[in-house]
Amino acid sequence: MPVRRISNRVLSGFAWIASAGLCLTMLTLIGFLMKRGMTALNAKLFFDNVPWTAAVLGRQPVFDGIWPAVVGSFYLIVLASLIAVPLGMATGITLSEYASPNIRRWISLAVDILAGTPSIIMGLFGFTIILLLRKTLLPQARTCLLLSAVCIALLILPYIIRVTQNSLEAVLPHIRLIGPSCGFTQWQTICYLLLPLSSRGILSGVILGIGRAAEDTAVIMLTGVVAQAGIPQRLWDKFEAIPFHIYCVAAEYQSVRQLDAGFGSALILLAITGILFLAVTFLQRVVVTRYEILS
Amino acid sequence: MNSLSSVLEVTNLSVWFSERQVLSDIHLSLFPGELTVLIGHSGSGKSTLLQSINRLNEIFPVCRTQGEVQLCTERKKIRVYQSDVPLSEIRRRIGMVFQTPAVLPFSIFRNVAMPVRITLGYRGNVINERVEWALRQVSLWDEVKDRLHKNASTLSGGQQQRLCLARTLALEPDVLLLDEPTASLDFKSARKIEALLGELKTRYAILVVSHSLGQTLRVADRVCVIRDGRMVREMGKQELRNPAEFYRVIETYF
Repeated sequence: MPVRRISNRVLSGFAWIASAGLCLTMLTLIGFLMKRGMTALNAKLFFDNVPWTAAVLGRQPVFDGIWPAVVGSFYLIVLASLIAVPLGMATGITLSEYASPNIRRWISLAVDILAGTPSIIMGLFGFTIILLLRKTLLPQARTCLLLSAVCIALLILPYIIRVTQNSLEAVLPHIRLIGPSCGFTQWQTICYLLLPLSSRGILSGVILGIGRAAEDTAVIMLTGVVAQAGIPQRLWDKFEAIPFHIYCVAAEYQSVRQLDAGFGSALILLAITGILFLAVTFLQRVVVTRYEILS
Repeated sequence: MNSLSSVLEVTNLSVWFSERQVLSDIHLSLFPGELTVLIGHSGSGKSTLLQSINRLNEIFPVCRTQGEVQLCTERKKIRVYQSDVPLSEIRRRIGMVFQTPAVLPFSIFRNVAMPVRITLGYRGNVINERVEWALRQVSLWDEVKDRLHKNASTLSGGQQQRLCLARTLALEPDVLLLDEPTASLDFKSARKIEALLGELKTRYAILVVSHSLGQTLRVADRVCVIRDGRMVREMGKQELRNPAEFYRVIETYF
């Protein structure tokens, strides 16, 4: 009895320490970033000496600020999500609702391989596609925003697939039966019953994906990001992105002030992902409220 | 009321799960104005029989069904397993309520309104009227009319089960199948559902699976005993009037 009680104490103590450690690490990380980066956070970091209205409206290019990188990262994340979320959800639905066990095994294998692919390989893959295109259909093809978004989408696809599949499969059998017993077709059951019920879970996958899309540097380095590109006007333009900007600063800084500006950019990257998380959460809440109240 | 023509006719129905035969040669008729109770051991095939009547068993890929189920509505006869009537209409016409109150984690209103909108294709005010009508049918309207947009999970177990029944009724079924509808409810809520079934049977043919012999005696007009997938005994009103005889039969066939 005492042994069991002691092991109980030890285990719950360990669990508490682990959670407390997590919060502490998080606070230290953000605190450190704040301490180093806050001093650099001003209009100059974003727009250099260009008036902000002119920069935001695109009247004047910004050369030394991170504004183009902020916009580039934002475009990249949104584009990659627009590609990956519908495809990922559709695959997740197939895996959970339609595929026979045999087919499911094959698709699952493919998803696992995709999930295990290092991002640098994904970047190389994108780069190879461009090489191939140049030699065949499109001699003028070059690395660009769209290519980066496609490769990032490939990178985050497995998260969204798995999380969609798992959330759908987690719907309890007696709830699942409501659909067919009320005369819903399989597709209606998925749309009106299973997807709303798993929206919370799917959302967590989308958030993970957004985080991954925001931070990845290896993929975009090989597929279209450059240090100075300005704000991309078209999908096939080169672009700037904050993680790459931070990488450049870290590699080439010449003064403490420059390094601090890098930390400032890191804070901005965190803020962008934070804002996107909030946006997605808000969207999910709107969807759920609509489903709970209205008909 | 014409008690001779059945609403639902099950003939020669056999069901297999993989290689195992779960039901053999079942014959069963449901009549309007009559409540039939199906009793038998756990695993005797009661729920399978219920689910093969509205073809719900087909969602299990290993299930194979043989035989015929015929639904006789006012206008037409529908052969459940062979007809060109869409499966969704068949399932709507043969309404089903499960053992665990399966409410959706949506609002009370939406629990009834969503199926009405999707399955029957109704829109606008017709839906509101239909929801109110269905909730009145199960005497839930007065209890929930002021909180229709609260989450349905805030209701008690008995209320949730009545909400499920309302959801089924709102879809204009011809037949009601209930799989141990009171098994997870307390005594009082169970009695309420029993009283409700007594009212509803005047309008629908009802088939109830029950594990409670007391309940069976209280509500049944006809009892079918099922054992190892076979219908072994049927008892009509006459026999049910004599509880001693009823229990003797149960002793013999259970």
